[in-house]
Amino acid sequence: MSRFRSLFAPLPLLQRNEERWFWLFIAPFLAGFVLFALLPLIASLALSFMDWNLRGTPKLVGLENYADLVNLEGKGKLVLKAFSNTAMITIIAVPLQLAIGMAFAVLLNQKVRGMAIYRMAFYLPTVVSGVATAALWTWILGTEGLLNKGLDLIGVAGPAWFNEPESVRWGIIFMLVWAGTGGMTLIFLAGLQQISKELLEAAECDGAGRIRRFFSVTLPLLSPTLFFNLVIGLIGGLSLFTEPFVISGGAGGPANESMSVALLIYRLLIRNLDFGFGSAVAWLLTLVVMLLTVINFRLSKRWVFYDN
Amino acid sequence: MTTKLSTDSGKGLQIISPGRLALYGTLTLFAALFILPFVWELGGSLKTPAELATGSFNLFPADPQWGNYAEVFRRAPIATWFANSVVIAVLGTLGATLTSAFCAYGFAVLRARGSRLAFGMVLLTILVPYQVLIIPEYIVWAKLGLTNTPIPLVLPWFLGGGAFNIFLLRQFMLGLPRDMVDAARVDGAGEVQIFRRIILPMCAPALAVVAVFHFIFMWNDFLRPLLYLQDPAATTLPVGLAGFVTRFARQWHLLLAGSAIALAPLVIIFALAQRVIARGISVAGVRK
Repeated sequence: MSRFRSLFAPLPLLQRNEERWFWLFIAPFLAGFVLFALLPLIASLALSFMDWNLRGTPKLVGLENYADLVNLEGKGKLVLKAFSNTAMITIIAVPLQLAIGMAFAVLLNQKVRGMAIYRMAFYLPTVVSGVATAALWTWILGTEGLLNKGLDLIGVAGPAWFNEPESVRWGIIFMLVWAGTGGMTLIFLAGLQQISKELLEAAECDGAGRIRRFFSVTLPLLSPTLFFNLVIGLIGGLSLFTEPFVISGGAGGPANESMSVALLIYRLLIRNLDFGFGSAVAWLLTLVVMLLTVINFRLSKRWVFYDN
Repeated sequence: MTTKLSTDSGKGLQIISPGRLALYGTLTLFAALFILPFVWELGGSLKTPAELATGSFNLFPADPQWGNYAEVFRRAPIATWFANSVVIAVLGTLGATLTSAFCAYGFAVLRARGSRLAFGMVLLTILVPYQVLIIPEYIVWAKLGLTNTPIPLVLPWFLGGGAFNIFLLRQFMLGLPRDMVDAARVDGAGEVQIFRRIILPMCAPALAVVAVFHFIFMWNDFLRPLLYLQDPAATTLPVGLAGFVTRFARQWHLLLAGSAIALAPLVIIFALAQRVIARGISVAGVRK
């Protein structure tokens, strides 16, 4: 009851005034939240129970789109393919970004001369990542591209990376690691610089070697940063779109091996005008992202160490 | 690390331990791996198609073909795409920076019931994948006849300016001394005045971080312009460039020149705003 009263009891004039200003200041966010998040979210949920292609009126079809989703002989086959491609690419690329990013950060954290230059060199690919760099990689990883020419020199015949079903996802993973590692390096570096020197020195006095110091002191204190990079990396991986689009001309080929979930949703919307089924796929993706984040936060209680 | 690296270069004996040497070697090797593709690209964009086909590892051709750039401008409306990209990125950055600062002031300075709940909504929007919103948003923009205008790409940024930006500016404002706000209130200053005259100027470093990162984001953004700007005359550089990969397949000199043009503004911003970028990342790394 006391909580109830505090919510509705008349407030002193000054405080009431401040409250009014608060809602006024955050009004743009509230409007954006309703117009560009809440309403579209509800609309796409509603659309997922309908059949519509922009012409005519939407028709209620109940759970048909969701039945199609799990029908692996029909429409569901491509959905499963898109989810498994996205999962495979994310599961391999994100840990690689995390591991390499952390290793670079540890190296840079030792008093390195010219650190600003190295830091910026690692970060440049992250800043310019997008269509232009994906186009650049289609050249470097092309059939007669630089990488294969390099492999030729040592007597290895490289695959036609983006033209063969077996290698296309590995090409994308390569691009993601190249483009995403630098951002993680810099965030890890900022985390490392927060760790107090005294703790590391105390561990050294107690006879802990380099490796022991890293695993017993540095890594636990860096775990919040690792967690942040992991969550952002996973959300980014699951919304993979630009790289597969550019290398496959928007088709997700060859043989649908580069079809990502985001690319599939785009194709259902723009190519097929299949709004109902597309919305069902989009909602499935949303549920996966949210579930994964909740699991991540739950698990984080076991391994993320907050020093406060 | 028992040996020391002499700090006054040139004078005195420089002693570098094998460990240090390995460290610098590793760092330099990887820095080269990250940078080299850009150098290759720049060199490649100046080669003839024949040179690119035979493919030597020469970084730069003996006889640079500046005509490749002229040819790209002739065969595709690059100048239009470039101008569209600039307009959209500048307007979007303006919107995001201004309104996220406005909202952050509400969350950081003004006390109100429901403030925590509203801030929870800000954080929640990070978890909503953009893909789930595109179908309804696309239908509405198409029905309103606003596709092929910058409005669908720019307007949303004027309403809140993005969760990350609000979050970052709120954190920064919470670190500012509160006495100044209270003193200004006692002197009879209104909230808008306090925001404009006191808080906004003090937030300049954080606003620079938001502006630089948001501009880079807007410049690289692909899915939104791809959806809403399907008319080649209205579209942005990344969308136009993505078409190159299929249109100019195997005409690598044109593809490379085109992507060099798209990369140039980012590399320039990157060079000019290095300090701002480094500061932005340290802020990102500290948040929990």
